[in-house]
Amino acid sequence: MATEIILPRVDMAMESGSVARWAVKNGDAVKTGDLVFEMNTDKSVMEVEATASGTIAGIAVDEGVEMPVGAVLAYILAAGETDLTSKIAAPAPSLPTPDKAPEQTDSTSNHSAVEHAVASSADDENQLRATPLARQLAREAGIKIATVQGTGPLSRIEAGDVKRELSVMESSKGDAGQSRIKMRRWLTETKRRGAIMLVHGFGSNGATWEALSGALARNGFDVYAPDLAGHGDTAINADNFDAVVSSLENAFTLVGYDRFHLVGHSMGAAAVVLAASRNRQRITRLTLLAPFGVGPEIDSEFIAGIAHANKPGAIAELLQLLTVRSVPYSSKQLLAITKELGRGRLTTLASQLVNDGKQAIDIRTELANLPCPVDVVFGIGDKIIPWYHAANLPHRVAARFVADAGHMLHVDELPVLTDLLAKHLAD
Amino acid sequence: MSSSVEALRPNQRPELANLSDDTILESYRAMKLIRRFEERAEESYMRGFIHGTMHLSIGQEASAVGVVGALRASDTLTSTHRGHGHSIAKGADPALMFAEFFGKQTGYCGGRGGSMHIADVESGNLGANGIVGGGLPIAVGAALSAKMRKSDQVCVCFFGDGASNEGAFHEALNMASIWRLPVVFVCENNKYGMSMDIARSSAVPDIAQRAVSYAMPGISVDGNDVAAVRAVAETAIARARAGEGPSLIECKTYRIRGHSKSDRNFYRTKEEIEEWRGRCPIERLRNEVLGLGRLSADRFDAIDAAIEVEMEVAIEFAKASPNPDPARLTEDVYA
Amino acid sequence: MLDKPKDMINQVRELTYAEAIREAMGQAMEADPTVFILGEDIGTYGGAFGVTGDLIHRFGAERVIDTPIAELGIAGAAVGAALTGMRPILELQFSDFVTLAAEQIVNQAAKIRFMFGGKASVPLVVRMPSGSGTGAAAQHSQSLEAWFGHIPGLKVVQPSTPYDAKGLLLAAIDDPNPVLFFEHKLLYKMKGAVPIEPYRITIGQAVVRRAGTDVTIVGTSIMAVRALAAAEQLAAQGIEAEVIDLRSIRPMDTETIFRSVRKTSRLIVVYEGVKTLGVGAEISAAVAESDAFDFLDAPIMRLGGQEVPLPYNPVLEKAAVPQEDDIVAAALNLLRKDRR
Repeated sequence: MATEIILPRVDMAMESGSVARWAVKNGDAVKTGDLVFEMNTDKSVMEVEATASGTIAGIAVDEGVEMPVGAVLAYILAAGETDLTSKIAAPAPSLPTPDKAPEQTDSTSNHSAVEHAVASSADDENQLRATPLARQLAREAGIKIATVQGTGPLSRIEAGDVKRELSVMESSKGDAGQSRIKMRRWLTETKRRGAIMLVHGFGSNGATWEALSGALARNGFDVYAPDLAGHGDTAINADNFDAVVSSLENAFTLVGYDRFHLVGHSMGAAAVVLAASRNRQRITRLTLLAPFGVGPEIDSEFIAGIAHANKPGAIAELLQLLTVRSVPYSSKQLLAITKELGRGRLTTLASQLVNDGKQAIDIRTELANLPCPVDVVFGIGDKIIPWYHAANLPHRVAARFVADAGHMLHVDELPVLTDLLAKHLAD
Repeated sequence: MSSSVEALRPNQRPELANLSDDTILESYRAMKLIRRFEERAEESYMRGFIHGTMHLSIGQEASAVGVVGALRASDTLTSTHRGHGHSIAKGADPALMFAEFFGKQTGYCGGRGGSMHIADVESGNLGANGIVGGGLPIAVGAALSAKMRKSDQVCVCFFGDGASNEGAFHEALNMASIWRLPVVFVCENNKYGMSMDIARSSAVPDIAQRAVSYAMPGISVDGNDVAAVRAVAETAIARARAGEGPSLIECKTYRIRGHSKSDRNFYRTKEEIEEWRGRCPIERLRNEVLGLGRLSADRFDAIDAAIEVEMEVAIEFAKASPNPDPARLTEDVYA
Repeated sequence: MLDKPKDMINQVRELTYAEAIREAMGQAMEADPTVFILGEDIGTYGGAFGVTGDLIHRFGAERVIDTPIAELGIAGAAVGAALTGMRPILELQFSDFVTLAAEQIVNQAAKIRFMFGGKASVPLVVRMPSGSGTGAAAQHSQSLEAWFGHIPGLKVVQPSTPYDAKGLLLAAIDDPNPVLFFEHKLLYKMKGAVPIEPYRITIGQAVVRRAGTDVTIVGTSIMAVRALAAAEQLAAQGIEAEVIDLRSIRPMDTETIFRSVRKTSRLIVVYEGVKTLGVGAEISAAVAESDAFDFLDAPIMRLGGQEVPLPYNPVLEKAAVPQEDDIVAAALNLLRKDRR
């Protein structure tokens, strides 16, 4: 069984930290007690040692990315284990009366291809080109230079490109830029293998993908993550679900690729399916995480709670429902979430999504008619939308189940998800 | 004067008869000091105190001492890569020279120059030179300057037989002659330009012959006879100081040691070296003077003993001196 | 800075570049009896380019010394004189001939102070007509200043106006270090305002000839003049170039360049010497090593002489070194206005 490498709490007041330096890389053999990574905390740099012997796999967090205490950063595979697929489990045997049995998971045989394709060696043509000034402006503005589209010779990113990007971000924050979609981008700095868009769920925003995006970009993918209407920094109201879907379609126009992989989480999964059904030619594949819209049950109190939340304490309690792991949000994070949700932008939308305690939207027809491969992933520990909705999925859709994961699969099992998506993308 | 001196010392050759006892002893002292300085430098080199190479003038001391001894303190000279003798003859302090050889801050050049660049412009030593022939045009400039400043300074320009094949030699002699400059060119013909025999490198057997092309006196002299050198130097210097222009003196001599510390003497025979060793200018002066009964041996022995003490003190000073501070490396590139 | 004559000097009139140089020498010789000139045909003939002119009549043959054709010898004579209390100005007939004198300049003049532990000084000026454009072909047209810019102990100056020629030459004569003074043959007849009184321009200070915001053009010698003309053409197309006249390549005023690059984010270096391993390489590297690097928004561009000996034919000769239109084209290319 793979052993988790987590971000440990090493200090009473510690809520989060980051990897200062990985001492290992995927595929490295380690023994118990070997240095695995150095960790930045508020106060110092600490060394973290391997708690088991085996092979490092699934490193999912870049150096310097702030993660909550307890987050899984990678795994140590035991002898005999070759990858992380064991973490993708069959559902538990005691099913609470599903409509029908879930499909067997691995029908798409997604890991028959080369498993450990890594970014090829530096290829000048595909390496990021940016002028020193562009890099400096990006550094000062706190944005990754890779998220900027270059318009100079050889697609070089020049100062003007960064300024343009900054002005988009600025206007997306202002009230005037009504039509602006806030889009985060993580452009790969290695050889490009494709593009992927990650779509957040209800009450969240594109920032939720930070860790996953970084890992995917490092694997050679350009990652796009919009804030949907009514969410985050996108200044479009979401009085109904159509507005959400149409904001997502607008976000498609900002992707610099003809075709890309689309990932949706929860409500975002429902939006993804509806948007994809109207933009079939652009979508290569769908991955739906804990999708909304494929069954009736939902923790409606959670949805209502999020929509009407205005107190950090209550929000902290609600957030604990999202993961099986205890994620210690910092008071700063909670205040930010409270402020965002306190705007009440989601109350109308919430009433449209959930009616009488049941999901009020059904995407199964559109899902069944999509031409591209679709994978659905549930966490066995999901307390918001139960995993056994998988049983309601159309036949052609492959379902997977992740043990030890709740509704927020990308928080509970970041390495597994990274691994899975990287394989899908490599197909 | 000379005829009266000859009358005084009828049994002596005129070159020697013309020299006072003090001059003889001072010439001996200077030659011996150069010899012992170089021997001690060589020994220090072998003991690892000296970082770079050295070019020793052992055997050639009479040329340096005979010429420089005829100069005034205010006169100037330019020297060569084999220039320890010229500096010492001009009055350089052996302690500061050892310090320079040892690369020390207290050396003549603060450890920047080493054996090949000893200079003391204040005292008229315009510098040894690592470039063969490098000092020739500089000496012309110094003489031009002396003339323009209306000083009565004379500049002596030492160079070797090898340098006489450089263009600089010809350009310098020509200019000095057309401008009648107060410069005396002294070629120390030690028979070899590194390994190249003068017989193979020069179209004329005597470098002094080349003076004809530049309309100046050219004199070849036994460079191992300090009295003879002194005599011709005095004439040339007087001529220069009188505004009558330059002269070319060729001191025929021999370097006993190799070109530098890495020379293995493949190009000459042991017999040749031994033959010249027998013509040591220092022993020659002492023996001649003793033989004439003009001075007693204890006068020379006292000088020898004093030099040994001076060498000990000088080497100790050099050893004890501090190394230059690397933080001050870039100083003195510009004023 | 002494760039505005009217700030300090009342009486100003037009002089040519050659006249300004002659005036500087004359004033230095009047003020200091140790200053003298030596060189080939500088006496009654007045110098190959007429720069020394009538100085022999004013100061006599003892201080305006016609020399044999012996560049190594006269360079060494200048070194020896400088070493013993004089302030010689050596004129070489063409800067190409400095190759013959290089031993004395590089091995002797440049190193004596350092080699002798700081206890000797060589206050020497070597004046040299340089550059192409006169049909003098391969052995009489070179720009060799970068060779000497590589030598610690030397200063290397390249005036581009009559005003600078006088002020820099007086500063060079005062300087206790050997200074190589590269004059451009095509500039000798250039006229400009020059104050009557002596004045000095600090060696090692560049000057911004024209302020601009879009691209920095650093030029040396006549290339600073061409860069200014090019900047006017560019202005007509809406591009504001900042033109820096470097004036001296050793010491090099990199700070003025850095300041400008921080403002314009683009840099073109124009010089007549062969492009490879030249002044442009040094400036480019200095910018790349400095904090100004972070302000670059385009690759640095060098415009230098072609990798050929200078040809005789006038069309070929022009093609061998940067011209005004080349500078304009380079700036347009760098700003990509031609593609939009």
